[in-house]
Amino acid sequence: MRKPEFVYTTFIKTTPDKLWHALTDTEFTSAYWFGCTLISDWKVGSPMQMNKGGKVVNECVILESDPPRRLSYSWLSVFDEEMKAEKPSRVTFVLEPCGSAVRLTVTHEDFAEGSKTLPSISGGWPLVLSSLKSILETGQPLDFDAVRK
Amino acid sequence: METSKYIPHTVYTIYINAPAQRVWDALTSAEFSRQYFSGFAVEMEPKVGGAFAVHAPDGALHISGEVIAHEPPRKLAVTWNVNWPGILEKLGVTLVTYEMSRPARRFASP
Repeated sequence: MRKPEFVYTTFIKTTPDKLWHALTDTEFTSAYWFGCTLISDWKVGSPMQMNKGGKVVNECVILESDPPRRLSYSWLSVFDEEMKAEKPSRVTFVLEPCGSAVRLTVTHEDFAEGSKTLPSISGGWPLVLSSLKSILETGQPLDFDAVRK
Repeated sequence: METSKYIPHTVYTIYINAPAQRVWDALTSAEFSRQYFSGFAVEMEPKVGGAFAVHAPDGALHISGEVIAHEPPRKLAVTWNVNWPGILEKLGVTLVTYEMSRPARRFASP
């Protein structure tokens, strides 16, 4: 098996149920995902859309949904013509309780050779997952205008 | 010290809602590190070539090393030798580098 192209682990002081909600609730995602909202019924085979500013930016299909343990969806970035022409990649979230926290591992894999999407998501996930950790632990997402001061 | 021989094995990026100086303090002061590092104390001579150490709550030396880069509050590099039997022989000297930078832009893509 090929080594996944992107793996990120973070520990978040929350519960698996709250983390699952944060990853899948349309209104909650809009609070920390830098203007993106995720819309789906989260059933295997269902579509999931990531919208930003009224436009679909990523088209996804739910591949696995085992709340609050494991979520996987295909990922096709459609905001860029070159990315749109690539084969869809796959992102998987694994949630494991760990004391008073949850260990969240995000794996994003199956990219085309020379993929333009891979560097894009490699920069994006640390931002999104840091903001997710911040909002669950402090009630506030990251705000880069405030950080930059 | 020649650092180009080190090849990154693990690279991790996290965004923290704090000024760089506060992150620097967290990485370099015993008082601060004890709060988040299970009581372990980071002790560091604040200069290149200075000693770096992490002591366990019982006072035992856990990690020892040397300060390789010291550019507060932007860049810190230390050698990181874990004081477990056989581990230094197995891994050789390893290097940990911290770089603190402000987000260059608002989350622009897409």
